Amino acid sequence: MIDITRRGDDLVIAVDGVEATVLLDLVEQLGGMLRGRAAAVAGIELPMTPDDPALARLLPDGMRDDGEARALRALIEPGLVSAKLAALDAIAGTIAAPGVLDRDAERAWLTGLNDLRLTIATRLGIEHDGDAGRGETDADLALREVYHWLGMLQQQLLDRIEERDDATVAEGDR
Amino acid sequence: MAVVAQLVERWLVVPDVAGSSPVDRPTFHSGEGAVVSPMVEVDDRTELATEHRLDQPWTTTVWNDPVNLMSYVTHVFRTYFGYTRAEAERLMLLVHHEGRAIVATGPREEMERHTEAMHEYGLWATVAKADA
Repeated sequence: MIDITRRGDDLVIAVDGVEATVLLDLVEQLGGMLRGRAAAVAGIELPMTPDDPALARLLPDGMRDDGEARALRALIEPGLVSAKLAALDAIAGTIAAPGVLDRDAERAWLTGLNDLRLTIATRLGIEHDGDAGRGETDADLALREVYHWLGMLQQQLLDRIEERDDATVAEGDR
Repeated sequence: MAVVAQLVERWLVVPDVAGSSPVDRPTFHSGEGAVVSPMVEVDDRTELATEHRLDQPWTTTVWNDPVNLMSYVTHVFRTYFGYTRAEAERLMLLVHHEGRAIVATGPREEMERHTEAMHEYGLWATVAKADA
């Protein structure tokens, strides 16, 4: 079970059971993909767009022109990979020791959950608004279930953040 | 979830290469008009003309995608750029309906930093010269 509640200015997250196991597994798999990418481009002056479409979505070209995109990629990809790995590490840290989420952990959960959703959506072939993706095997259906679950979790976190920020603003107005 | 846990084991690290088509990758196809998969076709000229500024000739554009929650995109625009809720929602809806929106205009280095930040949040952004 994963549940996010608000206690005054603090967001508190409870994580346990099978859902904790599934999330940790996803976090580790994505971490492995990102570390693999970092190793693959180590020492390459102008790395190409990743071949894996999921990595290409997480680390997209930042310019339209191929040459300029590669130059920009060389500039920003290392920091981007580090930031994404740090967010995944923070999620793993929360799973190991749930409780109050500080602001850094809050952002790590938001971005980390989003990166997992982007990755799964690519694997499911979700390409357009309202697209459910392809594939009807049990594994596809399970993956789709995980995708929706992560979306609900991310929305729950966004709702609690908004409630907290609105309450803080109201407090300041008094 | 127990069943799900077994079924999704190791799914992330094995790309579905056989099922992948070129449109899976966020690539740009240049030609007449800009066709950007999975985004909608848009007219370059109209939007850029309204945002064009001679002194700050670079822009950061955020592109639509079917995954990012609308509430999340709004949250990112508010927290990262410091836009008001109304402005953040206006930009988010522009991305959603038009396929993209220019979210910042200014010097190239600054637009590159914004693009990196958007990628860190998982939003897909590009840097371009305003009159390109």
